[in-house]
Amino acid sequence: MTRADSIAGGAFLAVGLALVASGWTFPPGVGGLPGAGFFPQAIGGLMGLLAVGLLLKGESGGEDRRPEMSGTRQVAGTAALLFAYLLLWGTGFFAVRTAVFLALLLRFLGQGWLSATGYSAALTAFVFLAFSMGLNVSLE
Amino acid sequence: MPETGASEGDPLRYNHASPVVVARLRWILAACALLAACGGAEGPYPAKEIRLIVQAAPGGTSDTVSRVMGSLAESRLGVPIVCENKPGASGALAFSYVARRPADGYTIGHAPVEIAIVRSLGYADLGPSDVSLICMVSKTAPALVVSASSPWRTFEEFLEAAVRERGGIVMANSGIGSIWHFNILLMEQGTGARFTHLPYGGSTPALVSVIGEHSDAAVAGVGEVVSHVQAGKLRALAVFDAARSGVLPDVPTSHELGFPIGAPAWSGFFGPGGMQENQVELLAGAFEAAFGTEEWAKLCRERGMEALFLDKDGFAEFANQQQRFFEREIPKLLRLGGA
Amino acid sequence: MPGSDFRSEVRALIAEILAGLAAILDWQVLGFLAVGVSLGAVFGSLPGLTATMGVAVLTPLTFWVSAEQGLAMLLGIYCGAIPAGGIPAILINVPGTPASIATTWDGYALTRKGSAGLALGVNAIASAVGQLTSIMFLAFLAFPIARFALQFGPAEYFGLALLGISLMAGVSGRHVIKGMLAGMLGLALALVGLDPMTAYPRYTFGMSEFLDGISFVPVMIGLFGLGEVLIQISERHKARKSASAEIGRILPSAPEARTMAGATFSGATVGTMVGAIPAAGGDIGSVIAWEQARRASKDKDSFGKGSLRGLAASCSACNAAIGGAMTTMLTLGIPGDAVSAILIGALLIHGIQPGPLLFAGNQSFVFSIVFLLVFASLLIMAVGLLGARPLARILNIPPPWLWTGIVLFGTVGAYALNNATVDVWAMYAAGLAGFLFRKARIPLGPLVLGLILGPMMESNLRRALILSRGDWLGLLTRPILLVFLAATVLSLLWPLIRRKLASTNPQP
Repeated sequence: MTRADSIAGGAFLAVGLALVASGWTFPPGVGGLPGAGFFPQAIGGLMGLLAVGLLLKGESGGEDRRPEMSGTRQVAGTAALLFAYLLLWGTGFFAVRTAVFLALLLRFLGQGWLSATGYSAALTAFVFLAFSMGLNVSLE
Repeated sequence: MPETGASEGDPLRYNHASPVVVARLRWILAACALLAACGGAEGPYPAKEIRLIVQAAPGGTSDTVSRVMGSLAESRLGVPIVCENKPGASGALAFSYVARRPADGYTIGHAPVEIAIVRSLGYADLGPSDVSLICMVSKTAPALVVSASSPWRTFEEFLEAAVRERGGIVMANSGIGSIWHFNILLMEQGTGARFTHLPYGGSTPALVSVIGEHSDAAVAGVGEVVSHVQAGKLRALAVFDAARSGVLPDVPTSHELGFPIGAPAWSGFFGPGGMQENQVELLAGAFEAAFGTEEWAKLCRERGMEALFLDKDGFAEFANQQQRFFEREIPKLLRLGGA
Repeated sequence: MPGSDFRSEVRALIAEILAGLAAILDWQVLGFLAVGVSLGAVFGSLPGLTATMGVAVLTPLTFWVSAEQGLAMLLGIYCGAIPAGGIPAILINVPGTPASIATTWDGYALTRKGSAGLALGVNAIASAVGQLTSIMFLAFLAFPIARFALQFGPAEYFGLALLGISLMAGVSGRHVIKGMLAGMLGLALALVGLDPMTAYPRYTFGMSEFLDGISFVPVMIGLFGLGEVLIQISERHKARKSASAEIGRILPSAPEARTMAGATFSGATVGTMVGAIPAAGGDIGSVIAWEQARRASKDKDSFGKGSLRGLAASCSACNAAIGGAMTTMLTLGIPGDAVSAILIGALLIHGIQPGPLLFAGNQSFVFSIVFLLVFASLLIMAVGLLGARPLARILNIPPPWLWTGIVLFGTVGAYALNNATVDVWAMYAAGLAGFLFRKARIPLGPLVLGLILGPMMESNLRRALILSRGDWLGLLTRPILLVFLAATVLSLLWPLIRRKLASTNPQP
């Protein structure tokens, strides 16, 4: 069994148990009909069983390799930039904010400042024109 | 992309509801006129496009009403009215969004009956008295329909069966907490009928289930049932209203039948609370002019809506009275419906 | 005399057909169709812009033109968007519209093998063939199909959803347990929002943004688009030998075409039927068609690894769903999917009421629609084949540029769908999940199936139980449901049967 499998199994088991537990808090069905908690419990129960299966057996037929944790720095950096952009979503100056974000992202991914700035400005302008003017989406 | 001098950094946008070129030309002309009139300073209202927030997805009645009204009113205002859809939570998301915007008259919203309901459902702490109501433009009565092959030919026969069988009749509704669902509950409350309720996610699937004879009856807006009635797939037994419907003139009303029940759906417009009087009046005037056009009359005929104009005071009185009605009735009705 | 009656009827029908054709053989109508197809291709190929959105946004523009012109443009968008959705699915593993999810499985695998051109060619051809087949169904079998669609009550929808969910195992590849777990997660995410039967809020954490549940399209963009970008970023240090990507030939060879023919036509049949059922469309249809093609194939292991048959079946089915949805719309006046719901609104504006009256009373208009659909599918095939080589150049764009493009279009597209910030958060969260799932080798297909089918399964089972007054066994009296249940059981037991077969004659 791989480490990824045990992590995934544990996480799914927790989600499944939480679903089953939360099912009790929903109003029960009346007249022999399933209530709002029926499906959460059914899905959670099935998920829990499958997760136990995964924890015990591992994924049969799966290759016994550890997941490659290469490129972690690059992904973490990208994710951090994305998260910052997400936090600032809807705070105004969409075009400026987006162009700066894209330029930083491109620079981080190894592009030169010049090409990063130029490309991000062009892409932002295109998207802004298409969505804001063409589709009347108010981007702010 | 052409840019006009007076745009003040505001993006030039096309309006959905008019040909791009016309909208753009109109806008440029308006901008030029304004520029000439006041030398580019803060112009008189409206000086730029107005956003109209629609609480439903594109394609439905709310969306069509907003887009058609918007495009008819913009020639009067001289600036584009741009519709934006923000669906979700029975419209509560859109109502709260508009209510939070600055009351500068550049963000307004479509106000359907749900604006008088969402507080009672607990979706948003907001009602008609918290916003600036502009005007109301239409009303849609609910209609009770059964499948064309069903044994009930009149409302009386249907009611008799519904009272006798106590839950034997399956009534499809367009979703728990929707306006048409409340009409079913009002019918139960007012006539002593009892149904087995079958909730669907909207009027269309509810009507389809009646057409396919998976359920016995449904209540939906007159405009939503009329095409199926004309096609001979559904039979309308009653319209829950005081006056007969223009598109279903042969169908008796609930009032005629002796049951003064019925909560219509309606369409109006509103802005954030505390808008200036003159802005509200200007917008109401533009919508009133739009209301008088043949296009609007035609749309109302096609969609089975009753064209009904109420100015800001009339609309406020109506909407607040609706709000009180739903606040009083919804807790009772939901207890009755067992939800 | 009955003979002459029949002959005069045929003559009248031919006259209607010709009138329908004449009404659209007009350079303006065809021009609007071409504009529609090109706009549709743009909407379809950009992740975050869907066919629904394209039709919705451009509907008001058609108020100012004639019914034929307006309809030509809207049908063009509809028909153009769906095959175009397969293009990013094939080239960058990001489905352009929900219907092209199954296209990613074999299409992207072909691109990685250096056959991007062939994959695009198959997409263009199979899409057109699928759509033309479904139009034939529409022209000749409209009413039987419509009657079939009306048979679908809650119990039958539940059966369809259950069958779809049982395909989770099939689309999981080698990681069946993890695939099923992902599927359960999809079903669980679909629980968020108001309970469909009692309107009790579940897992909304008091936020009204969650009352209507988690939007599907942003999650799809995140899982496939952003997730794929993050994966590629994490693997970029690996020697990218295929720096200048192979495009290869576009047209399939004659033997290839022969192997695909069966899958294409059976995919078209499945797609038409599923498309005809209201609220079920190309997304479900193409997955079912793909799995059906896999079952029918002798070379099952190639599916998901660049099988031409799998690609042809999924492309054909998602376009055939158009014809199915149009059948329901034209014969019953009931929308078969989200796009046809908007189309009905557009027709109403022109004073045309889709439904049995239209079909009986205004046949020439119905034939106009049929011919418009035929022209649209031929047009999109030509565009697809001619555009394949230039489009495939996208593979030669420096990867960081491509990644930032996907991120930006995905973000703005997720927002533009409902103008909701919460959808942008959902997209980013799904992107991170998509990355982690891929790293842990958890298949994403079942997750998407769960999300699409969860609400359909739950609400319809509970509706069916309301109708049967809580009697579970009473559900088994519905024949269509029984067929679905039998198919479900078979598909769940299939891996066991296969393993049995494999152990009796072991492979080298």
